Amino acid sequence: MKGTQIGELEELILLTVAALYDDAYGIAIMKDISTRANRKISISTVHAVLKRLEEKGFMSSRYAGATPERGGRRKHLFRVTAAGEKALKQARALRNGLWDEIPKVAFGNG
Amino acid sequence: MDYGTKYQRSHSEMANVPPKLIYSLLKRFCDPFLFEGISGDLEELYFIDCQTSVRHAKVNYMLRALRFFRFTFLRKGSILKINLEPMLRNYLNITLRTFKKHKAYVLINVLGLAIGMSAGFLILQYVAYELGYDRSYDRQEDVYRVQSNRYNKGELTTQWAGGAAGAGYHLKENFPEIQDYTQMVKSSAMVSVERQYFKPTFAYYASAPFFEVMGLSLTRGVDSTALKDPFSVVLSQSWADRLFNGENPVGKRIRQNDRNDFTVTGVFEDLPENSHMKFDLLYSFESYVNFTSEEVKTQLDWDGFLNYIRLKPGTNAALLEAKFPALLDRIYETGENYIVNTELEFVLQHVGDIHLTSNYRSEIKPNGSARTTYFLAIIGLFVLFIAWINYINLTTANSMKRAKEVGIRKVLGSFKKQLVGQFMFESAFINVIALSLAAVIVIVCLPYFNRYLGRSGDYLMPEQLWFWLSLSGVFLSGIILSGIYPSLVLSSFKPITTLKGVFSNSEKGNTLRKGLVIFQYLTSIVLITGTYVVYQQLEYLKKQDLGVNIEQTLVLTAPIITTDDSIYVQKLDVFRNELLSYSTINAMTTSTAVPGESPNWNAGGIRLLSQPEEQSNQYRVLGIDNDYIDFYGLEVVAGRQFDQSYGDENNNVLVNEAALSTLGLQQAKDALNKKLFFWEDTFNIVGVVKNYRQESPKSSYDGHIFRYNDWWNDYYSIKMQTSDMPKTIAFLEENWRIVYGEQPLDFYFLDDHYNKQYKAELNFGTIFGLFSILAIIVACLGLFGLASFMTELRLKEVSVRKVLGASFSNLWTMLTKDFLKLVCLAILVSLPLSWWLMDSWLTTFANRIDLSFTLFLVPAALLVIISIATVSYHTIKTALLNPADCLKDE
Repeated sequence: MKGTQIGELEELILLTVAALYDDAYGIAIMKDISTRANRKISISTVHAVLKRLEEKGFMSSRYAGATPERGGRRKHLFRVTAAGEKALKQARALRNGLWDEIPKVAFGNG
Repeated sequence: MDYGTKYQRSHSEMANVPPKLIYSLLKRFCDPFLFEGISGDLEELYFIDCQTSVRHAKVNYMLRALRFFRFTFLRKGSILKINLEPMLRNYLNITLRTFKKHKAYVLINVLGLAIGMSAGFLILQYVAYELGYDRSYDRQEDVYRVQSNRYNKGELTTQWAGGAAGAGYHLKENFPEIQDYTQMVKSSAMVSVERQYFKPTFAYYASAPFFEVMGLSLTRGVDSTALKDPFSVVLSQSWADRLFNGENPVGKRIRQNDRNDFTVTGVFEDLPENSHMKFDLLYSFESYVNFTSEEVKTQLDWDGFLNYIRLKPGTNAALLEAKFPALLDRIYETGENYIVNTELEFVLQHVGDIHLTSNYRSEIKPNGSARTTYFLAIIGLFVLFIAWINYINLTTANSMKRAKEVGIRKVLGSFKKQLVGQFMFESAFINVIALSLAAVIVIVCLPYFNRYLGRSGDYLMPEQLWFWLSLSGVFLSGIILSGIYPSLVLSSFKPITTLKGVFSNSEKGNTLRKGLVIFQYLTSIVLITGTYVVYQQLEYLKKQDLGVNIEQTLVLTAPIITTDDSIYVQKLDVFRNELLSYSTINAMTTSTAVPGESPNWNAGGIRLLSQPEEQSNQYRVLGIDNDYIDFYGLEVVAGRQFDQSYGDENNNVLVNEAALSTLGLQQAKDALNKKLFFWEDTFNIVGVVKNYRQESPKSSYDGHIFRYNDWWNDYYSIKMQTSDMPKTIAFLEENWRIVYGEQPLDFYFLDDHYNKQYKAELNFGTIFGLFSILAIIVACLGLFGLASFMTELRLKEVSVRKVLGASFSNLWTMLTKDFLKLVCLAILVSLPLSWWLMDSWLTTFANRIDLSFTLFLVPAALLVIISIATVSYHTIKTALLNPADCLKDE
C-alpha cells in the first residue's frame, strides 16, 4: 500500500513507538503491546513492521544503548517522523469522523 | 569476532551461549544494518528465558530466530534478490506443460512419493513418540531408578524394576554423589470419599523427597512436606477432580479400605502420557511404615519397592554403579540382611531409558521395546527410500522422451546449470505435491494408527519442533536425493546425438536402474517375509497346548478385606454358594494368581529340608484353594491335589515339574512327602503338578510352588456355560452388591487377558504387514511405470517380430522375462538377509518355529505373481498391438 494509509498493526506499533518515545526498540514494543493490548506478537513480526514503516518514511531509527544482556549489541531505536505523525493523525481523524457520523440509535439502548 | 561476543563472555551467565549455528546462519542471511538490532533483541529475550530454563531458552531462541528468515530481512544484493521471479515463472511454465503431457507419469510419481512419505512419517512419529518418553519434563537429567537383580548360584533369576526395599537408603547412606532418594511401593487399596468407592490402578506409597527427586512439583500444597507425615496423600489433578468433583481437595479426607483416613496434602499435574510413570494417588510412605514396620525402610530382602535417586549434577552414573557390588558385599558380610544364595545386584536406569530398555517385574506401566522401535525406524526409512528410488527410475526412464527437448535447449544456448535448475525445479514441484498429499494422508490416518497402537490421540505432531525439522529434512533430502541424479543425467545429453534421433539410453543408466529395482524388490521381499514369519510364529504360539483350560472363565478381582478375617471368609462362602446355585455357573475357585501372567509372589531362600542351605532357590508361589487344580484342568502327575477330606491342608504344598530339578529331585514321585523349608516354616509336598503355561508359551516353564490358601486371595475365577452372557453377568453384579456392598466390581475374561500377552507381537506383525503392503504398492507403481517405458522403447522390435511370425506367448515371455529376472535376483539376494533377520527375532522366544524353506517360498511366489500381473498390463498391450500401426511412420 502506498500513500499515507496504514494498517491496524502498523498503527498500533506507530502509536506504541510514539508512546515509548526514547526507548522504542523491538522488545520494548512487543512487551508494551502484549501488556496494553493483551496481544501476542512475535518479535520477528515487530521487526518486519518496523522495517516497513521506516521504508514508508513514517519512522526514523538509530542505534544506541548496548547492554550486557544483549551480548553488548546496541538497540535499534525508533522514532516517529513528521510523516508518521501525519499518518497517525489522518487515521485518527478518519475514525473520529466515523464515530461522529454514527447516529445514537445505531447501538440500540446499550 | 564481533565485539558482542567479548561482552558476552564477561557476564555471569557465560555458560549459556545461545545456539551458535542458527545465529551464524541468520547473520549470513540478514541485512547487516538490521542484524545488530535483531540479534540483540533475540539475545535479550534469551537472557530473560534463561532465568527459568536454559533448555527452553535455547529452543525458543531457535524458534524465534527461524522466523526472521523472511524476505523482508534478507541481505541486499543477495543472489535470491536478483531477477528470481521471471526465471522461476519460466520453470513453472515448462514444468506444467511437461506434466500435462505425461499425466500418467506424474500421477505414478506423486502417488508413489506420497505413499512412501506418509508411511515414513507415520512410522517416524511412532518412533519419535517412543524415543521421547520421559524427556518432556524438566530436570530429569540426573534421575535414576535402582533396579534389582536377584541371582541364584550365579545365575540371574529375577529382575525387578522395583526391587529391594532399602536400596535407595543404603546407597544414599554410602555415596555422597547421591543427592536424595525416594522409596515407593504399590498399593492396591480401595479408596472412598463419603461412601463413594473407587479403585485406583496407579496408587503408590512414596517417601517425602519424591517431588524433589523426580523434579516434579505440586500445583497445590508444599513439595517437600506433602508426603512427610503418616496418613497424608497427594492426588493427581484428574483423580482430585474425580474424587472431589473439581473442588480444592487439600485438607479433605480420603478413607482407604474403609479403615484408615488420609488427609489430602497436595495435588499434582497428571504426568504426560509418554512417561513410564503414572500416578493417581500417592500416599506418604510413612503410612506404609505404620502398617508394616520401621524395618521396611532399610530391608534388602523385601522386593517390589521402586527406588528412584537423584544424583548430584555432574555425577557419572556408570562410575557410581561400579561401586555398588563392593557395598553389597560389605552389607551381606555383616549378616544383617543375609539370604543364602540370593545374591543381589543394583543397576542404575536413567529415567529416560526406562521405557525402551526395561521390562521387569513390578514396572509401573508395560514398557516398549528398543528393538522393535529401531526396527520400525529402519522400515520407515526403507519405505521412504523405495519411493525416492521410484522417482529416480521413472524420471531417468522418461528422460529419453525429453532428450530432444534437452538438445534443442542446449542448441539455443542453455547452460548445463540452468538445465539442472529446471529439472531440480520439477523434482521440487513433484515433491511438494507429494508432500501435501502425504500430509493429508497422515492427518487422516494418524488417529486410527495411534488408536490401533493403543495410544491416546492427543499427541499432536505439529506441536513438536522435531516434526517441522524432520518434515523439512525429508523434503530437502527428497528433492536432492531424487532430483540430483536425473537432472545430471538429463542435462548431460549431447545435443547432436539427441537431435539426430539415434539416441538410446546408455548401458550405465540401465544397470543403475536395474540395481535400484533390485533394491526395491529386495526391501519388499524382506518385509513380506518378515510379516509372514511373525504371523506364523504367533499362530504357532497360539496353537501350543497350554496345559491349562482358560475357556469360558471370568476373573473377578477379590474384594478388599475391610473387616476381620472371619467375616471375610463367611462373605466369600455366601458369595460362592449364591453363584454356584445359578444354573449357568459351573465352578469357582480363588487364588493369588491366574494364568496369563507371572505370579506376583516370588520367594527366595526355599529348599528341601534335606538340601544344604546353599542349594536354596527362588520359586514363584501361588496360593490356591481346593478347587483350583480341577477348575483349570491341571494334571497331577504324582500324589494328590488339595482336598477337603484330608483335613487341614495349610502345611501341605504342591510343586510343578519345573521345580523338581532345582529341588534336587529326579522324578515326580520322589517329591512326595518331602519336607519343604519355606521362610522358617516346613511344608509337606503332597503332589506334583504337570507343567502348564502359566505365562504364554513365549517363555519357558518356571518353578512353581502351590500353597494352600482358602481365605485371602486376589482373584475369584468363575467358569460359566452360557449363551446369555449379559444375564449371567447381571446376576453376578447383583450378588456382588448384596454381599460386598459398594465395593467396585472388576472383572475380565481370562482368554482375553491371556491373549494380551501376545499384544506386542500382534502390533509388531500388523505394522510390519501394513508397511510391507505399502512398500509393495510403491514398488509395483515403480515397476508399472518402468514397464510402460521399456515396452514402448521396444515397440518397433515387437512389431517386426510379429510380422516375422512370433506368437503372442513368445512376445509376452520375451517382454516379461526382463523384469522377472530382476525380481528373481532380488529374491535370491534377500534370502540370507531375511533368514538372518527373522532368526534373530525368533531367538527371543522360548518356543519358536523353525525357519523352513516354505516360509520364504510363499512370500517369494506371491511377489513373483504380483510383479507378473503388474508388468503384464503393458506387455500384453504391446504384444497385441497391430504391427502396421507402429511401423507405418518409418
